[in-house]
Amino acid sequence: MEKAQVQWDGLRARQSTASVQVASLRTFAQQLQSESLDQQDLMRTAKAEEDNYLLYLHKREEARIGDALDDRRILNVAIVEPPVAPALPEHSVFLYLLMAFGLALAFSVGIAFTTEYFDPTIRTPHEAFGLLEVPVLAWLPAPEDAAPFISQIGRAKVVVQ
Amino acid sequence: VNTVLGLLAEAPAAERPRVTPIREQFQGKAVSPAASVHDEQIHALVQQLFFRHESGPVRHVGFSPVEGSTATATLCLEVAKALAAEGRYDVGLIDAHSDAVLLQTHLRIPSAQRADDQWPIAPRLWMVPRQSWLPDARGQRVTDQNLSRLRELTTEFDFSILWCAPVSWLTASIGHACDGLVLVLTANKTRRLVATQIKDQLSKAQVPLLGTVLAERRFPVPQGLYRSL
Repeated sequence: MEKAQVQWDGLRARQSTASVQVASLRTFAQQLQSESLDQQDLMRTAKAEEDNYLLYLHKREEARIGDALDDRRILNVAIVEPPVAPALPEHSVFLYLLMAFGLALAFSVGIAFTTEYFDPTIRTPHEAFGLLEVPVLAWLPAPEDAAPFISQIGRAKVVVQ
Repeated sequence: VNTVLGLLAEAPAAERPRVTPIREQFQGKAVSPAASVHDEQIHALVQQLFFRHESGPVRHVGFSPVEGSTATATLCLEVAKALAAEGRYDVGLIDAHSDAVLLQTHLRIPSAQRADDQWPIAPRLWMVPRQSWLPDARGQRVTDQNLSRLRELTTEFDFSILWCAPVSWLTASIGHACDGLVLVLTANKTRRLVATQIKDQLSKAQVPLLGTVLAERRFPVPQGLYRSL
């Protein structure tokens, strides 16, 4: 009986000790659980920071490469689709000829009018009279325009006998 | 206007030396429209300048080009010829140029035996060489005496046509020795500014500017097209 009493006391002591330990462990477990949440937050933050860092690093490298290409006058060109000559022209040849004729005509007329406008010389009797305000007594055609006449008059050779 | 040769055929042989064509005889070709226009213009010039001038009688006129390259010798001859063709006046064609080439050389007319003699080249039309008023034929030294002699020479004729150099101090002096100058403009060549300045200079020098002649006028429409009109 006594032996059983002693064992009972011992067990009671061990029980109290174990209860204290269980309580302590339960508190520790709760603390660990709350700290694990903080740890996960920190790990997510660290992961995000790492991703940002890698992104910025990549961007910086791209920028550095771009600057280096610009310095060396190398265009960063990528052929998306190789060119292919069309089998048929997009517009008809007649249209191009018509446009070329129109442009040439407009250019020629423009040149002619411009030359006429800026010509500083006297061309007509009306201009001469308007400019000098003295009568224009006559106008004579250019030699080639009146060649049959002038060649007879001016170049006749005569002799005195 | 008759040609030189046509006029020569009417020359009285007894009074003056007979003038005979020796080359490039007029073949009687049909007169082209351009020649007809040329004829009419010369005739109109003569009538307007000598017979219908507003400021009074004009008898002695110098023809001076603006451009040195404009040949006015033929124009002077044609005007003198048209005047002489009236048949009532003695006309003198006077070499008042300072060019090294004489007027008769320009016109391919043989000179007289004496360099300072004037001689007829058509009925009532007389060629007056430069030596008759300017012994120094190059015209580099023109004195008042020379100009007086030139003035005397012009008075020997009813009308006189003076073949002048391009406008210069000499031309202005000659302009004083006659009734005035006719300025020969070259179409498409004479600048408006130059013509205006020359007119102002002549006005300052008190040289009467009787009129202008627009020479070497060109037409943008081809001559063949004109003829077909």
